[in-house]
Formats: sequence, structure tokens, C-alpha cells
Amino acid sequence: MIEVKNLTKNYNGKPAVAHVSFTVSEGEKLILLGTSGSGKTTTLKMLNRLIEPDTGKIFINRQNIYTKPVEELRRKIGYVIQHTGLFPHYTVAENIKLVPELLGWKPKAMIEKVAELMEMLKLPAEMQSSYPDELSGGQKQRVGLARALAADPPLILLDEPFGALDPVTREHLQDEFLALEYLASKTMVMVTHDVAEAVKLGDKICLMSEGRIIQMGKAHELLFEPANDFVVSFFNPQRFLLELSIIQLDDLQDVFTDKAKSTEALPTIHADTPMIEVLKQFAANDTSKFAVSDGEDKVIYDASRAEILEAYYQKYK
Amino acid sequence: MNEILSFFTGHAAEIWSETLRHIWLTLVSLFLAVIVGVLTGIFLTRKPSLSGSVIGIVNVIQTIPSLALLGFLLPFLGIGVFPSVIALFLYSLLPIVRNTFAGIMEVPASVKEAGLGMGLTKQQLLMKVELPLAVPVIFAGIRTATVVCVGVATLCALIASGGLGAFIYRGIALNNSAMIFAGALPAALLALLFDLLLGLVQKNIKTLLKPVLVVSIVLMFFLAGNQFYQSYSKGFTGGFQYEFMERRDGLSGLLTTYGFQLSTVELDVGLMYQAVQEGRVDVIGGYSTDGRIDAYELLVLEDDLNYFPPYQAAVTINANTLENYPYLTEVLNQLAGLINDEEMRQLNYQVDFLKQDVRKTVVDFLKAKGFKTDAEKNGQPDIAIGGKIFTEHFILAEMLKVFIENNTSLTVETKTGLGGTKICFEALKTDEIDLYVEYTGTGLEVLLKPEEQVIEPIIRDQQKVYDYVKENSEKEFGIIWLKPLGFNNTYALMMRKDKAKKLGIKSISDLKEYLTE
Repeated sequence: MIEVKNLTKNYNGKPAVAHVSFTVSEGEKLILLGTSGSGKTTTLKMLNRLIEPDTGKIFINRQNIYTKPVEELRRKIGYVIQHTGLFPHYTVAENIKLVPELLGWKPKAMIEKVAELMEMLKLPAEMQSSYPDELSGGQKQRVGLARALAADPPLILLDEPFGALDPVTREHLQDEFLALEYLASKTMVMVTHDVAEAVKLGDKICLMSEGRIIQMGKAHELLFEPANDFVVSFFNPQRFLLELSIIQLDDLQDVFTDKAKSTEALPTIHADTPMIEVLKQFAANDTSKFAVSDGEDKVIYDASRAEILEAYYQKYK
Repeated sequence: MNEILSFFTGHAAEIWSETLRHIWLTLVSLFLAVIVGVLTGIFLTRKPSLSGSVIGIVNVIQTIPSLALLGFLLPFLGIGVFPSVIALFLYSLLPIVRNTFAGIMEVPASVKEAGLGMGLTKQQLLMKVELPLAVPVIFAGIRTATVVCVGVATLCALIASGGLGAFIYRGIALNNSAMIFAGALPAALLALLFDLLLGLVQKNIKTLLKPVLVVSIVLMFFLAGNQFYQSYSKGFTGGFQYEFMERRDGLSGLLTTYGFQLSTVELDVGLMYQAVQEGRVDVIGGYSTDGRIDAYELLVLEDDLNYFPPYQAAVTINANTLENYPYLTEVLNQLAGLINDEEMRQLNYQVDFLKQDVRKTVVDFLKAKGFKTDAEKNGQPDIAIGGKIFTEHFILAEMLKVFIENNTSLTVETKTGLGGTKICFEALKTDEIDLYVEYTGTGLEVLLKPEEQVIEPIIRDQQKVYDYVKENSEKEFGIIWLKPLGFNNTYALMMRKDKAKKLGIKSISDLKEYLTE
């Protein structure tokens, strides 16, 4: 869907982005991860041409984005930013229907779309006539997301969409975001500096530093096959938690191959459950052991909490 | 209070029409300033690197004193409505440009970025986001400009464009507070009204902007027709101070006496000379010994029907002083007829415009007339010479001092810069000063103030006026008038020399002939 070739952008002779290339396939969620000044936001803004690169090419759906009017391009790309950028003099409804209006939709279609999005994003219908200043941070961000989705764009760019929210609201919104079926089919590129968010929401992570891509791949690859020390040190502060949320029970299967299966009747848990979820389940179900079942409901092994943690240490440390 | 009320009722039509004129001046200037100012402000937001210098320039314009700006525009734009509108426009520009620029720059970057990111064009961003969000700031600027405009518009009366300032300046000239009030009160109310209206528009910009815009444009055109017609008629025009137009012995009497009509405009006295030199008006009224007559190369038209009362200059001296120094009469009478109009004008010109030292000017003049000038005395003064607070009196007082010190044994001190006729005369009566130069016309009209029946038969004859003043001053105040010095500092009409020559005009009768042809 997106193909970025050798993007370079200099500011005052200093490279902000240097030789960046990547592809994002249809429905994929790519996270541009990095510290501030790493060039991740610059890269994102080059995708909707808010920033023009010095050299390099970008294709969206095999079409060179520099060959058509910039406004036409942008109206087909959803855009969500950290401080929402809602128009303070527009009501919530007016904000949401901004792009459909630009595209010349019929009034009725716009009214329906606004109602649909508000419901999907759990915004009360009576909020339509409120102004952004009357909303909480989380509500504003939902409206921002609704505005980005209003014209049903196949591609959505998000620039630290949850960055300005408090941790509780942020996590809540992230969970909802993941759960939205509507978003599952969308291609997304999201900028964040929050490693946990990157791991949680991304299919693929592109770790950047000083304008360059350091490593790109699935979270698993960046954690367990780091390209260099920078990647290691970038993930280290939260490594334990991140690993627990990435490693699934089937990843530990080989440790248990020689272990005899228990004969007791045990509650079962699916093999693609991440470890962190399993640890929560132990507490919730008041059981000492889980039977781990694969896709065909066949039990592949059973294990206690201690056994699972031990297997993790044995395999990954 | 009653005086004010009766002035308002007596001049209601005039006040109303000047108010309309004031509104028109303000509206037109403001309209131009809003268009140019907002566009400039928007332009600067697109090229912020220019903002410093452009706002700097507009700022400098704002700091030019209003009257100086009008004088500065005069050579290019002349007098009347047009330069007034331009001046008001220039004054209104700063708050509008500055606030438009600031208002748009203050729109949060995230909002602009989101707007562009959603696919607004720059044009759409401006109309849908930047301008609407900047409206409160821009309107604050327009409101400031409006108040400035209504205020400065009063000054435009000084360059013949009328408006409420006309009452204010005439009132000041004639020391008539009811008249001043008749200009100041409506002006203040106008400022408040405009501000209120703009505040209302700002709050309901979606519904009110268009109707108010339409109404003001219609009003502008509706008023424009008669405004231009009234303000500045083409053809031969006279420019005069308010005082001259209003006085009993001023313009109206002149026109009746000579029997002709003249289209006129009201002008500030400082701008008047400049205006006639620039050819913006053809004839002006001034004082016959004014140094500016030479500076601006003007010709004083001969008052061949002796309409203007004589203002012959003569030394007035306290009788007590003459008792002490009786020889002073004879000494000072040597100066009789010494200085003619032309010479007095030259002296004023040398001091006023060439900035020559007063003493040097006086000494050079007396030397040329063959008088001794080398004595210079210090020490306890025997007598004091007074003088009013204008150039001619500084020169005359110094001249009397040099002359007396060279022709008697007396030591003289000068006390010039005395506020006006009243102060000088009081000082003379109370022996604060011993002598000063006074004008016969002033002696008659200001000091003696006889009945109209007394004035009427003598006023056209300078000898009779002198005789009357001399006789009665001595009787009434113990003040002696010596023989006149020669020049007559009276009201006079004047034209540019080259123009007068071209038209063959030397006297006021010539002017009448030319105008009635």
C-alpha cells in the first residue's frame, strides 16, 4: 500500500531524515518509534506532504504522491495529532464532518456518518453541538479520531495520538482502539515514543534514531534479535514487561516437550495467549495449573505459574 | 449650561451636517484602512520575515504628530477631503495591521496543522480557520483604529475638510466654550457609538457583518455626493483662519465692502501660508508684517478702500516715566516713520526664518538707517521696555533698547514675552514697564473699547484712529502714544507673487474685478 524510497530531509544542513525506506502493506499497522529528534514525525508528515522531502519517493497504492494536488491526497488520508487540532470555533459535529464537507458529501450522508462515528467511538450523541473546549482530553481525542475516519480513508496517519492523555485514559483508549473492528482493516502509520504502546498496537515497529532507521520488524524481532546495542538499550527499561506481553504460551512449548501431562481436569487456556495475560488468569481463576490448548483444542502441555516463569527464564535468559 | 443648550438648538442643522461629515470621513478612512490593513496583516503572516520592517514603518507613521502629517501631505495631496482621508487612513492602519498579524499568528499551530492535514487549501484555511479565530483580535484593532480616527478627524477641520473639529477650532479661536462643546460632545458620542456598534458586530459576526458592511458602504456613497461638493470647490478659492471668518471686521465685512463673492475654505494658520504657496488656495488672509510673506514669496494686496482697521505701531509710554526723563519723547520721536511694512516684514523674516540673532538684526538695521549703535551698557537699569510674546515685539523691544542706550545716558532692560495685550498694558499702567509698542487698532478695540457710533466714523482713517487713541489713552490711563513707527500690522489679503502678477492683481479691487469678470 505504501512504498517509501530513500527519503531524505535536511534542516539547516543537518539531516532530520536520512535514507529512509520502508513498505507498509494493506491493513498493516506500522509504528515509527524513537526519541524526540529521531525523525519519526518528519517521516510521517512527508506521507501527507505536510513536509516535502529533499530527495526520495513515496508511492501510495502504486501512485506517486507528488503527481496530484496535495489537498486531494490529504483528503484521502486520515490524520490524527497529539493536540487534536480540533477547530475551537466548530462544534463537535462540524469538526467531524470537515472532510466529507470538503469532498462535497450530501448533508444527509454527513449527518448519518457523524452519528455513526460518535456511537462507534462512544461519544454521547448530545455532544454533537458542544465545542471542543467543553470536552475532556479523552473525548477530544475521540473526536479527533472520528474526524480522521469521517471520509472512510483507507490509510490513517497518527502522530502520538495518545501522547497528551493521562496513563489511565491512554490505556483505556488504546484498548478500545485495538478492539475496534472498523480499524482492523485500515492501514496505519503511527508515531510514538512510548515503547509499550508500540508493542501493543503495532504489527511492525520501525525504530529510528537521528533520522535513520535502526531496525524494522515485529516486536519479537526487535526484542530478541536486536540489530545492535542501541536497540537493546532502547527496550531495556521496560524489557521484562514487554517480553511478558509478547511471548505467548506456544513460544514456550519446546521447554515442555518432555514433561508428562497431568491427568487432572484443568481449566484450559489458548496457546496464543501472551504470558502477561496468563499470569493475570492464574490470579483470576484461582487455579494452580492451566492446560494449554492449540488451535484444534488439543492440549499441548500443562503448567503452573512457577513452571511457566521458569520456562521463560530457561529459554530467554 | 444654558449657553451650551442654546448653541445646540441654534446651530442644530450645522452640527448635524458636520456630524454627518465627520461620520463620512471616519467611515471612508476606516473602510480603506480595514481593507488595506487586514490584507497587509494576512500578507505578513505569509511572509513573517517582512513583518518587523512593515509594522515598524506603520508604527513610525503613527508617531508623526497629526498636524505635521497633514503638513507633510499638503504638497502632494493639497487640502480638503482627500488628504484628510489619507491621513486618517494612515493613522488607522497600525492597530489593524498589527492585530491582524498577531491574531492570525496566535492561532494554535496544531489547529493549522490539522486543517492542512485534513486537506484544506491555504485559502480555505485562511477563511475557515485563521480569520474566524483571529476575529476578536482583529476587531480589537479595528475598534482602536475607530476611536483614533474619530479623534484625529477633528484635526482635519484644519485643512478645510470640515467635520466636528470645525466647531472645536473656531470655538478655541473665539474663546467660545459652547462652540467647543458643540464639536467635542458629538465627537465623543460618535467614538462611543462606533465602538458599541463594532462590539455588536464582533459578537454576532455571522449575522451582522454583511448587513453592517452594506449599510456603511451605502451610507458612504450617500454622504459622499454632498461632502465633496461642500468641501472644496474648484476655481478661485480663499483660505482663512476661523477667527478671520467669524470676526465682525473679518471676511464677511470685507466682501460686503468691496462687493464680491469668494469661495472659501477654513484653514489652520500654519498650513494656510503653505497652502497658498503650493497653489492649493489662491488667496489667504494674514497679518501684513508677517515674516512668512517674504518666506513664501507672497504679495500683500493693497486695501484700497481702507476696509481693514489701521493697526499702526507706536511707542506707548507711561506719563510718570516721561516726567522723570522728559527728553525721551524727543529722542524716541526720531524713530517716527522709520520702518515701513516691507522693512518690518524683512526684520521678522530674518529672525523667524533665517534664525538671525535679534540684536544683530536690529543693529544692522539701525546702522543702515545711519544711527549710532556701538554703546553697550551694563548695570542697574533705569527703565524697562515690555513686549508681547511674538517675534515682532522681540525685535522692536531690542531696537528701542539699542536706540535709547545710544542716544541717552539711560540703561535699559527688556521684559519681552508678556502674554498678550492685557498683560502688557497692565504692566505699563502699574509702572512694571515704562514703555512698549502697541497698535492703534488694538488700542481702540481692546483697550478703550468705545461705542460703535464712535468707531464707525473714524475706523477707515488711520490718522483719526491715532488721534482718538492718543487723546483718550492719556485722559483715561495716563498713557502717552508717541508718533507712529511707520508700519501698519493689520489684516491683509495676500496671494502668491507670480500668480498676482500673471492675473494683474495688486489691490483687493483688482481681485474683485478679476473675480466678477
